[in-house]
Amino acid sequence: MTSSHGCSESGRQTSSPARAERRMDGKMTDSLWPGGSTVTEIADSVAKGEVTATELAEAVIHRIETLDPIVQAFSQFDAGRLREEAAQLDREAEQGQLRGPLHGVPVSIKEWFDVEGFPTILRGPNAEPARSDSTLVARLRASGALIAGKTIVPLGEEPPPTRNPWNTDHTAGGSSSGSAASVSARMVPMSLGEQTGGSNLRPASFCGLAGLKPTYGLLSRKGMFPGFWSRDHPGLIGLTSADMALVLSAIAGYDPKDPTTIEAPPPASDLPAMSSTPRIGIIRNFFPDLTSESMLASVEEAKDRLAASGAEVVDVQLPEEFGAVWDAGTFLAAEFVTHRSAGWAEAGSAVTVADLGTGTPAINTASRRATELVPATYYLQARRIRSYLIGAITEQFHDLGLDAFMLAVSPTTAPEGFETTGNPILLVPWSFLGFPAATVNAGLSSDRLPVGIQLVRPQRQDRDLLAVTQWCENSLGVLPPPPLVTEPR
Amino acid sequence: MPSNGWVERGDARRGRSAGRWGDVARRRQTLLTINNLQVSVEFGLPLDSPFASIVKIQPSGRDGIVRLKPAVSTDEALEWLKSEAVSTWGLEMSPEIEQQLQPTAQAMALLSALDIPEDVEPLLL
Repeated sequence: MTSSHGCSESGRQTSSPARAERRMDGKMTDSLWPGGSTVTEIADSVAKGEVTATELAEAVIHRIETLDPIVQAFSQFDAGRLREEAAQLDREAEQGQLRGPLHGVPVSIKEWFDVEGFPTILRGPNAEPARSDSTLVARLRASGALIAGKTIVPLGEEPPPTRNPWNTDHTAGGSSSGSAASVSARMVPMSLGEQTGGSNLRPASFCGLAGLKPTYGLLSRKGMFPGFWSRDHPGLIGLTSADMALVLSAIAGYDPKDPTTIEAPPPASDLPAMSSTPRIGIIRNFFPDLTSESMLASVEEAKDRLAASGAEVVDVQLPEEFGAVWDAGTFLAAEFVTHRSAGWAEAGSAVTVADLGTGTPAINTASRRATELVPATYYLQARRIRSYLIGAITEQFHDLGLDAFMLAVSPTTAPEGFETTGNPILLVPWSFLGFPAATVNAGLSSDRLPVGIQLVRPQRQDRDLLAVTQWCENSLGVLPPPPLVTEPR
Repeated sequence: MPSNGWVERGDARRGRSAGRWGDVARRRQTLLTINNLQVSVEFGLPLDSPFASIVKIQPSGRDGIVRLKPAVSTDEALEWLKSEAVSTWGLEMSPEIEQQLQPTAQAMALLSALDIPEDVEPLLL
């Protein structure tokens, strides 16, 4: 095993300088990877025999060696193993056998997921290497993906040290910051992340990327380190909505090892063309009060640009009961406490004031640990509120004839420093409700940090959501790679 | 003294207080008070059993009431949480702990006050 920062093997430069202009057709302009820039392009090039998995692996190794000492996205990376796996993929391709739609595509994996041969660090400082892959990693491999390495999630819920490739003095978000930074710095074109509160879309947004938190149960949690069982969502971070759709189709679907997965075929890999311009409902209550003025102005600007492209943007007021969503979500922390109890008991330490510290900073200050004291009726009432709101919001969405709700991803752009990873308060409700939510980049702020908008639909409408986000990408454009990547080193 | 506030004897651990032994006649008797902990003995006497089955250590001043309906106030919820923090975790109550418990008490009050249609069930998947 070799850490990314101690890797001594040198890769070869396979990339060409990026063109940094902003494209307005949703396609990437940089050609940082052999065979293209997006998952879709790279997979197509591999399938046509224009590029090999080995060439892609060397590009990954080169980028990680060059950039990860600065960005600190990876926790575990093994160049030798990556080359071996790429060589095996190339042997299969030479025999005309492509494993699947992702043959040769490099993907990074958040620490939360078991990857065979790598310890899942969150399981403890002495964790043994995982004996098998989590379901999603196994499905990625079966689709031909090249598992590039694991991305940082510190043990003990400390903020990750990962730097934002757009400004290395700023956080990349959390806790999937390593996943987002690995894509933003073009070390990989796709990453498997996870969101319990706002940990997938926030870093994706902070790093100027596309991100998807699918419907709860669309992606298996088997082999994923648990947080809140009913709020844990595996997620994707990449460059375009089309890439999300392709990878989602490869890994989604029922898993008998995870009884919460949806018994339905995975969404198709291609996105449906929208029959008309989208009708987008911009949420005008609850969320604006939680969002900074500058971010609200950015959302308004994005709204105007979408409208100028033909979108019908209407104001929406969510029902009054929606206001309970944040407090109700608090009580699901009992799931976290239940899971962690055995570890705490093993550690043998008594509960102290410090243990009662804020469990989910900035959502509210309710202590996760305090749910240990709350009668079970409150947990069940929280679950009933979830049921009620799922029905009420879904009905409202369809009554209004919407294609997506729209709001900001985060109250601010990526904060400076690494004491905090930003505020998940605008994302938590959708994690609580299990609704699919996605982020689309809407440009850069005045201080040159990415600004993201969030689009949401009711459960099991992930593919339709991605069709809307793709339309928005085409309208708003796609960011070029950050200067960290394109400037000569 | 166990930190979780419960001492179980006899068949109570296996749930016999509501099982084979049928209904339980309960009687509470305060034995002593130490460091804010009022040690009470709650005898659960199965009507057809000759021996006591449950002993509970009760924090003193535990008159905080908590329920889902009718709605609980933030103050009531906080009193409950404080007493539970003492009995469950063995903590000495302090302003800092009370401050940490306050948001949870507020959330309890909010959930308690919310009316949801009767036919809404908790989806557990």
